[in-house]
Amino acid sequence: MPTPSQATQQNAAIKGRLSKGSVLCFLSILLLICVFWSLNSGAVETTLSDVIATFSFDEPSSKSQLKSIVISEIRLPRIVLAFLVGAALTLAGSLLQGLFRNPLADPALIGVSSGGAIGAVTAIVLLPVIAIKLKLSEGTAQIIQSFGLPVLAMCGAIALTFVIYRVSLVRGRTHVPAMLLTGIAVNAIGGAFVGLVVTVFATDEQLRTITFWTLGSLSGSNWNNTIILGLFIIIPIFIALRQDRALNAFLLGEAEAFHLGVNTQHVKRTVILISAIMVGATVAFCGIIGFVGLVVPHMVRTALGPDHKLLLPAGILLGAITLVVADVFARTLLSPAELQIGILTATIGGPFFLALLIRSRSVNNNSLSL
Amino acid sequence: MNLSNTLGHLMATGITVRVGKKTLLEKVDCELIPGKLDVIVGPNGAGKSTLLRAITGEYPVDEGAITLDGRPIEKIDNVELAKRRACLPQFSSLAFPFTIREVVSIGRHPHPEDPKNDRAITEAAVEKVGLVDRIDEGYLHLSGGEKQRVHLARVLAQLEKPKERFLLLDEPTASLDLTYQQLVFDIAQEWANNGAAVLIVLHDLNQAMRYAQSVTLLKDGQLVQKGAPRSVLTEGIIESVYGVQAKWIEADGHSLLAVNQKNQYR
Repeated sequence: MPTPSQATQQNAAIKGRLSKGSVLCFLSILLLICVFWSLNSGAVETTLSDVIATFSFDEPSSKSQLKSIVISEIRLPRIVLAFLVGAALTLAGSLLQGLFRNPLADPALIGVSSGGAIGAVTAIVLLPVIAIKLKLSEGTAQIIQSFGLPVLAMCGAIALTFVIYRVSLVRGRTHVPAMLLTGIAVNAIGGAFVGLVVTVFATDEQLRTITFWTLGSLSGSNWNNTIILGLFIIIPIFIALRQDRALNAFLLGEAEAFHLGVNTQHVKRTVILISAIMVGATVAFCGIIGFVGLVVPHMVRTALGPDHKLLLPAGILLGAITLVVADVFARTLLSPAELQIGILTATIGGPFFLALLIRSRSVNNNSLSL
Repeated sequence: MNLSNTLGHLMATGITVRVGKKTLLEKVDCELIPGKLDVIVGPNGAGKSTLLRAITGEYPVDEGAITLDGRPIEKIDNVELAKRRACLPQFSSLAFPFTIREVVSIGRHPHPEDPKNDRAITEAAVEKVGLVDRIDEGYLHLSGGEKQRVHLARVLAQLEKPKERFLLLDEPTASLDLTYQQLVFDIAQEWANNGAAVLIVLHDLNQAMRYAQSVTLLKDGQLVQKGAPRSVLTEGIIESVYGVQAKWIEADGHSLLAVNQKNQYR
């Protein structure tokens, strides 16, 4: 007869979760492989030796120089952008799902991204006008526009996240239908606003098209954008990673988290702020890329469990992998034309979301609480 | 106030809680003393849970004061407070696929991380509620009663040991069968015997009569009476508070409440 503690250890060996170190190590290697694959994929034929030559200090031949420029100036910033966007959207999704205590809280679905789009479009139209009114030099105007765009997008995202959180909370518990309906309403408002602005100011090439905002795209990538976005995403990532234990407690409920010593107001504000900052910045440069923040955290939870100590870092890596890979397909499937990345994520994410809803119905007797 | 008298005590004096124009609690006193098991009873809507939540510091009180070791509770750091008092809610809405082990180890939140120690305390707590051989099973697949036991284990893991701790349980037996109702009271009693102050909100007056050292009877947010169960839960007081005629019957050394069938619902 095994003693209870022996039985426990046996069970733990069978059913225990994978260790954090091995999971993160595996995902990092996978990410590296995907990055190399992506560096090597595209309209211009390149080989692995071209990729290696680009990052070595050898003097390149004139023929390989073009390829090197393609790799280092076109592909690499885009890959880094995909990495950042994937990491940010997944992390924001995980954080919001923890805050709402519900795995359906995707930033695009519940309207956070629409808030970002409203802010971004406003910035693109307003900032040049302001620059002219204030008679700023061209250089200053350029800087204000580069930073004003993500900042206003963030403000839009932050404002709407607070609204959504307020509306979805009924007596301290997340009311899922209210959360999803708020998302529908906010997305409708956002879509109408963006559509109106894009139509009225149709000549502004920075505004691009409505589909850029509604389906998202990484095509506008260059080192400038990528670095600015990086600034707005790397810092929140480090703040977010420190909320892991508090978010675990939060999943029990707000009152329970308080009883466990969590400063609930502080955690709520931090989570809303950093997820809205990341989503807002992402939307400012890449439009609304949906479902990443829904599907990737769900995959991590299914494989590794919902513990935020692992969910947050693993989600960042898997999110980055997902978007780097999706971007390869977006660039190559219809080559030389480009597929918008949001079309890809929605093609996979939409049915996935439906499947989640159907499953939650059968589990919870037709209630949508998940 | 004499501080030495209040050390290790949790005192709530003159607690008034209002929501809008509605008064949920009016000038209620409550004292938690190490080694004692106290029970709050009262009809639905009497303010039992509100009082419990006010004592945890969760609900801000409109009037009155709550002190722990003589210090106002709102001045005490969240984490420090969480090491001393834990609260088991009536039900939990956890909707994520944790294992039992993971849910219980969330209870270790206020303590600095120490994997080995945390693991031992978690397992001991799960063992206490009789779920240790299922510790790595998924929480979401458990029955309501099993979930409640998992949360009891979580609360025990949070406090670590009974001495000078405050264990607050909100209707802990509501979804449990007889065996585990007994288990919960055994644990509560054991913790009280080992130096914890235990406060339990109950509906069942039989349980209150049997386990409480002191009973606080609330009605409409006001204190009706407080004291030893036999002096508070008299047939006369029960009739005036609950509006039912009932009679205590002695059986096997315990008092059991027999309620007259012809109730007047008031």
